[in-house]
Amino acid sequence: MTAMRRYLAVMADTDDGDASSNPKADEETKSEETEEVSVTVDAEKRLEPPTVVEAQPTTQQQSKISILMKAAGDAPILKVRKWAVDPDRTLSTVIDKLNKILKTAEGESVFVYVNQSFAPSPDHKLGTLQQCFGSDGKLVLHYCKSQAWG
Amino acid sequence: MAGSISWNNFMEDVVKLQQHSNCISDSWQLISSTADPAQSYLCKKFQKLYRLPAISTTTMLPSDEQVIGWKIGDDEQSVGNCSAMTTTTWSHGDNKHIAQLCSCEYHVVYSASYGVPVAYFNLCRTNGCLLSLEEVWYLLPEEAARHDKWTFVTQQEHPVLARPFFQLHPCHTAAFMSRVGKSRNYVATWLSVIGSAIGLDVDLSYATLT
Repeated sequence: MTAMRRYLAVMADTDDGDASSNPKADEETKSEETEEVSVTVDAEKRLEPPTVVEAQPTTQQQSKISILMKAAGDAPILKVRKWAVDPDRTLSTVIDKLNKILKTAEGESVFVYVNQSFAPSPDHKLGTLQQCFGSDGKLVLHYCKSQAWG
Repeated sequence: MAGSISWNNFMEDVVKLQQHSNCISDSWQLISSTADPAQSYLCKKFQKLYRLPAISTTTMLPSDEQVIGWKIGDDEQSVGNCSAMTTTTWSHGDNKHIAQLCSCEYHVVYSASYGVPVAYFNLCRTNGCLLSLEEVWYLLPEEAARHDKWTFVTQQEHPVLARPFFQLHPCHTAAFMSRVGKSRNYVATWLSVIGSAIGLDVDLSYATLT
């Protein structure tokens, strides 16, 4: 639209008669142009904060999140209690890792809880769990080993 | 006993769980009989697409194959003829598995003997034919289903309906529940632990109850 108006204004300038007889109209078009420009600048300004906000989570997603592993029941305490993990990993990777560290025997299962009382499904992403149950940027997971079934 | 729950507490938790289920449009329903309140249980029904081994077709009659459209060998024609709504062949050229739409029914019943809630479930195909024990074992994600099949899930009589249902054995429920921290809703915590073992999705928002 602005390009069209500029073109029209140039045309009006070249056409002497129209330009001299219609200076107001020319001013109007100019003022409209400036208004439009100011509007677009405003829109850009308005757009800026959301884009910045959007950019923050993506940088966080790329970086790892920290998990604090706490033993529940009679489970042994881990040597390394703070883990840094990729937020796109699922809870099942944590369970697999715990299975290896705790040397879970056949017929035993490792359970991982959030809030000390809720065991999320293993296919939940750790990033999601951290957003839902994390505090101070940390996700506290309680684990226990038990003979679960049968 | 540590890790068990009384009937009254069970009913309180179950009512709260059902109320929360209504809030998030989950489909848990409390089935209670006026004649005998002790026969109340929670029930959830939904449909899910499962990947079943085509080997189980050997036990089926030819008429059944036509009805539900089991794929046998490389006979593409028979699959094409039957309704695509009920059965679809699994993609990536896998002839050993088919996708089967199953109606799932999960019940939470209180066991007075163990003092814990017990999960009962049944899976049936769209023609009403129940899945066999072998097929259920195959579908269950838990490692235990591979090691201790017979002490994990078996077919039992439903205590209220007196129909055959698959039951997750409650022997060790009290043991692992005693290791969990203090929870405001025993049933929600229990459901979150066993849900993943029997293919039942428990929404994360149930954590607000515990």
